[in-house]
Amino acid sequence: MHSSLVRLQQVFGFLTTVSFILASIIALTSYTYPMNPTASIKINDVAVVKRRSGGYYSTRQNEYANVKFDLNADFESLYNWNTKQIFVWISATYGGDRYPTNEAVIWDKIIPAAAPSKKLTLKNIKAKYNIHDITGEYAHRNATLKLSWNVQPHVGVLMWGGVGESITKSFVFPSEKARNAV
Amino acid sequence: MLSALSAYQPRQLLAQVLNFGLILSTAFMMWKSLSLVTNSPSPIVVVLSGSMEPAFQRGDLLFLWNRGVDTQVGEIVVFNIQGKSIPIVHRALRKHVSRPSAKQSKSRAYPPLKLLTKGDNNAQDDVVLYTPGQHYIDREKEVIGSVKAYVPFVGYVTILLSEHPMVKTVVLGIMGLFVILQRE
Repeated sequence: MHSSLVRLQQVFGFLTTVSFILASIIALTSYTYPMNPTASIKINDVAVVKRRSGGYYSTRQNEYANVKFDLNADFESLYNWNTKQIFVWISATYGGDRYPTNEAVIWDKIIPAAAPSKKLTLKNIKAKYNIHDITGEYAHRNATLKLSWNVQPHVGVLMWGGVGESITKSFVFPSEKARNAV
Repeated sequence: MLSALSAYQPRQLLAQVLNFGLILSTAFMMWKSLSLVTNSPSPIVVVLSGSMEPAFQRGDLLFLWNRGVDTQVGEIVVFNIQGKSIPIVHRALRKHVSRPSAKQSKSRAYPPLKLLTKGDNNAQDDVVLYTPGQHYIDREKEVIGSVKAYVPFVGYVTILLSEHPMVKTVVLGIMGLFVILQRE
């Protein structure tokens, strides 16, 4: 049977096979590039303010923590030909009574592969998200900041990692309105 | 076409129907096996909205994994909100691990975990998307998996199929005819 239909079917089948194999090879090459970004965070200021949570929350007062920090980072090594973008974020990790482990993202950024520079130098940046705990209270708990990354490929496996050297010394969320220079 | 059908012997016709059934059940069993391995009711999902752009666009295919439910912030999770039919693919922004009760710590390997999520492309976190009064999603009850791998655009055909029901009818009809009319 050599009808045009059979030919069309075969061409389509071949196309799928070839693109599948090609995509798999491209996805596998991602593993051959070493990924070792560097980053350092310096905390400048930590403050806790009490205020009514906006719109959709109840009328009760909640504590919000604001952090100001410097960031120096080099993400060059995360980029290879299969990198579409990277997503980097700084999170605060802290303990608690009812919830013993907590982690909250305070700042994040998408850096696409087309970005001219893969290095970041940020001075005295205010956290993008002011941290608001599930219990509504922050004061006097210990916390550390850390930078992590996620590589989004054009095709294949998403990769995650953290920069160990970016972990800051532990700091204490101060009482409401009191400020802590760290 | 009808003449082609009538040219078959009944036995041959039945064999074709059996063949068709076999293809359907194989596809179904593969999907269910994948579901078992990944521990997710829906191990492969298609992105339906632009809320995670530029990482994911509409029609991209995502592969999920749901074993070991200790989700980290920054992970991209897929979750179902009660009363909404479409699963949401967003990134975890905050996590709070609670102390398991005595009863819970016996029955499960991981302590209960609450997550707040946000789409990369959205200005606000997802509290507005949750059911009224809900501020966090429950890792165990609402999340159906965490995104591990990505293939662009391939899932767009399912968007076409679901948004244009006529296309679905036509495609299914043609596929069915092919299988039945195909001679070995």
